[in-house]
Amino acid sequence: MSLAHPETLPHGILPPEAVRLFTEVKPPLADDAVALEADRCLVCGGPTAPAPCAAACPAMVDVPRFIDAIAHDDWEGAAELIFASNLLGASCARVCPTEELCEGACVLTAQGRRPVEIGRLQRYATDQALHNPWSTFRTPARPTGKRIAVIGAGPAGLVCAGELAILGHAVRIYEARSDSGGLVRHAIAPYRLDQEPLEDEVQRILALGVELYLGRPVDSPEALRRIEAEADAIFLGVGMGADVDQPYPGDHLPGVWNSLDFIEAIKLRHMTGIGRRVAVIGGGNTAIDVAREAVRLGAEDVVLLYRRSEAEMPAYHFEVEGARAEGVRFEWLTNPLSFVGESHLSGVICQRMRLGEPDASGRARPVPQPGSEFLLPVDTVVRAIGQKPRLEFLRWVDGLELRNGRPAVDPATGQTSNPRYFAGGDVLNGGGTVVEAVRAAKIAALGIDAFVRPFERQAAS
Amino acid sequence: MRTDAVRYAQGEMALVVHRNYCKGCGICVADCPEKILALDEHQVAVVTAIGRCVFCGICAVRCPDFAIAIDRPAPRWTAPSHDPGGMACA
Repeated sequence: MSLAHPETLPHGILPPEAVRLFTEVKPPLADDAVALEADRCLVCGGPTAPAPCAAACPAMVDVPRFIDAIAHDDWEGAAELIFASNLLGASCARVCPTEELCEGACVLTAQGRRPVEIGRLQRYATDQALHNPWSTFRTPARPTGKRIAVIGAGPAGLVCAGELAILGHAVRIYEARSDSGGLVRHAIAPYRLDQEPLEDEVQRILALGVELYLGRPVDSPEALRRIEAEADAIFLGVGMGADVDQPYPGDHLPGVWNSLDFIEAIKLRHMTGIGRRVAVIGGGNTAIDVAREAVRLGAEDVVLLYRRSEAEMPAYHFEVEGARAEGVRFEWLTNPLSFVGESHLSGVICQRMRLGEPDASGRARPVPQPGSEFLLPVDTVVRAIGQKPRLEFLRWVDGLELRNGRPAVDPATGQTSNPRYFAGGDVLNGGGTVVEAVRAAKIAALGIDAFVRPFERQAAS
Repeated sequence: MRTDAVRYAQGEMALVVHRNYCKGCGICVADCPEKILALDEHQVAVVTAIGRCVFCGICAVRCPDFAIAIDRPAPRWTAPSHDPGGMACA
C-alpha cells in the first residue's frame, strides 16, 4: 500500500470495486500510517476545558492522552488508558460511530480538515495490547465479600461485571446463549466487526475473576428468585428481544428475513445465495448495515424501503452516504404491504406514502396514498424495523417500574425502582450503540458498588 | 523585548498574547474552533472566554507573527508507568 498524504486519504467510504464480503469498512492502519496519524493530533485539553473528542466519548476515554502516548511509541500506555475507561475498547474502536462522536468533535474539522482517525488509532493500541500476553490490564481490588449477579453477557453485562470485579466484588454472569458478547457477537455486521477482538476482551474480563454461566436462561420467575437469593444486587443487561414481528401477508415465504437472523447467518457463514435483487425495510442503522452487507454478498440491486423521507431517517447521515456510495438505492415514502411469490419470494407490493401531521415521536406521520400500489420484484427482503422489549421478563422483577416498556432508572446510578436491581444497555435505551451500553454499565457498576457497601465508603471518605 | 504580553490562565495552563507582535490580521479569530478569540478596539487579539479554551494551539500555529503562545508546564505524555518485565500490578 502506498502511503498517501494523510490529509488526502478518503475516510470511511470505499470505492465500489473495493467493497467485498468480510472486508472491513475501516481496515487497520499500517504502522507508518499510525505514526503519521497520531502526529496530526493537537493533543487538546485544558485544566477546565476537556478536549472536544474526550468530551464527546460516552465511555469517557482520554483520547488526546492515548494518542499522545501512541505518538511517543508507547502503545502499552495508550491501551492502559483506553481500557481504564472502556473494557471493550478494542470492539468499540471498530464499531463506534466515531463520525458522530469523537471524530465529529475533533477541532481539525472546524478548519475543514479531516479529523484524526481516533477509532483506528484506538484499534491499533488495543490490538497491540490484546495480542501481547504480557501487556498490562486492570487488576481486581481486595475482595469485598459482596455478590453481584449480572443477567446477560452482552456488552453492558460484560462491562458491568468487569468493573464490579475490579472493585473487588464476586460477580456471576448468567447468559441464555451458548456464547458471550450478545449482539456484539451476533448482530454487528461483519464489515464493521468480525468477532476478532471480542473473544480476547471477554477472556481478559473473565481473568478478573468474573464467573460466566453460559446456556443459563432466566426463563421463569423461580429462576430469577434463585439468582436473587444468592446476590446482594442484580444488574439487568438483558437488552431487547427478537425483531418486531409486524405481520405481512406472505412473510412465511423463503427469502423473507428478519434483520438479526440475517446478520447472524452472515456472521456464522450460513448465508447461501440472496439472489440479484434485495429489498431492506426500515430506516435505521440496522437497515443500512443490512443493505451494505447485501451489496457485499453480491446483490446487484439493493433498495432500501422507508415509509418516511430521508430527513426523518433515524440512521446516521454518514451511514446513508456510505450506503449510497456503494450503490444502495433508496425508495423514500414507500411502505411494503405484502410479500408475493409461489414457492419463494418474488416481489414486494409497496404503497407510496406522503407526510402528514407530526406524531407522538415528533416526526411527520406517513399517510398512505391510495391507488399508488406497485410491485417491486425482489429475491430477498429483510425486515429491519426494530426489536421488541423483553416485557415478560421485566414483569417478573418485583416492583420494577416501566416507562415505554423500559425500566425507569436513576440516571446517576442506574438503579431501578426495585433498589436491588440496576439496569443498563439496550434494555434502557431501546437499542443503542455499544459505547452507550459501556457508559450505562460503568454508571451502574458504581451505583451497585455504592449500594452494596455504603458504610465502608462513608468511613473511607 | 516581549514586555507587552498578556497571560490568559486556565489552571496551570495559559494562552499568552504578545500584544506588540499582533497586527490584527484576524486569522486566529477566524480559525479558533471554540470561537473565543476576538480583536479589541486596538485591533489586537484578545481571549474572550479562557475557561472554554481547549488548548488545541491552532491560533499559535497559524499566527504569522508569533504573537500567540501556549504555556503548558508539563507534557501530557509521561514515561510508561508499567513494569517492562510484564509483572503488572495495580
